[in-house]
Amino acid sequence: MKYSEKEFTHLVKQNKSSIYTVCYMFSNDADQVADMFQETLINLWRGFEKFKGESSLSTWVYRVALNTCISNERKKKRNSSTLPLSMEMNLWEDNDNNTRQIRQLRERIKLLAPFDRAIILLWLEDMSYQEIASIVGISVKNVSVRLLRIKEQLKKMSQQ
Amino acid sequence: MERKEELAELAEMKRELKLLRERLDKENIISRNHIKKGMQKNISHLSRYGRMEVVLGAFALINFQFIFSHFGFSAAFMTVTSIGLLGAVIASIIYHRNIFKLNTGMLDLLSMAYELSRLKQRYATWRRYAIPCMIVWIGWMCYECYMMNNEIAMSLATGCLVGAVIGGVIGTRLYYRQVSRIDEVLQNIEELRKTEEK
Repeated sequence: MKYSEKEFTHLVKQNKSSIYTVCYMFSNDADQVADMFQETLINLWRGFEKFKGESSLSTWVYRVALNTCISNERKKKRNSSTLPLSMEMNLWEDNDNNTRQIRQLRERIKLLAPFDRAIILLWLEDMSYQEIASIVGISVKNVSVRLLRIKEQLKKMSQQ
Repeated sequence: MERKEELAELAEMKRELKLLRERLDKENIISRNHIKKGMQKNISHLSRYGRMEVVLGAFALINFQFIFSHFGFSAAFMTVTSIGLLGAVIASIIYHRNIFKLNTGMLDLLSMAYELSRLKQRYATWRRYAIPCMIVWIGWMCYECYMMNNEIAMSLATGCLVGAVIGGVIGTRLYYRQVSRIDEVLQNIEELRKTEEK
């Protein structure tokens, strides 16, 4: 399937919040979130031509974003990207009530392992087990087992 | 009771994520800081290139006099060369004068776009006159060498011709790189203006 640049721009605009959310949950500071965001866009662009429509576009976007951020987490390296694309806001320094709550969510999610972080994030986005399974590439049963463990882990963390 | 607490906590997380999504939905996918950093980098390159031109021109102005008089070139040739080099140095200073002062944090976007467009226009004008002048100058220099009719002068002429060809290639590449830097900054300004309008 051939896609144009215009369609890609539309896809990015439609999914920018999902991409940024994933990057935010996997990053440690504003620069890293910008780097991850840009790297995700590059990977989306590279994969866009090959996208065969086996899943929905938003599912595919999540998959690419999560893969990019998880592999970035593993590599623990900072990429020096040149694309001037990211979002203009400071979720690290702003101190209003909403931003504090958002930071609190990130801090809790960051305590989990990268793969578990991906699963809980998708679950919090109200995705079905089927959708989560298709994005992270495990069985539906495995998703439910893992989610149960993650919830227990989160409970323990809050008790500490 | 425990189950209720767990559900409340997860519901809170969902609500927090919703807050994040709502905030993100309002944002544009362009970082003004990133764009400005890129612009500043390009402007620094343009400014450095301008300074390099001035320094090289001044260096040539001092040394060419000495070399040409040493080899016995005519006074007319040396005078014209000096005037040409002096003109190039002055033009370089005038062309880049405002670019040296440019700073993305201090100037408004329209003034910056104006200065850069003017620089681009001046580069094109300079190129239009400089290339024919250089060809005439090289021809004149070869003629002077030919008139001297000795081996050193002929070697000098050959060296200058080779140097002119290499210099021409490097100069053309530098010219296009500079123009593309200006275009990039102008494009960035346009993007920033669009985000400001929104």
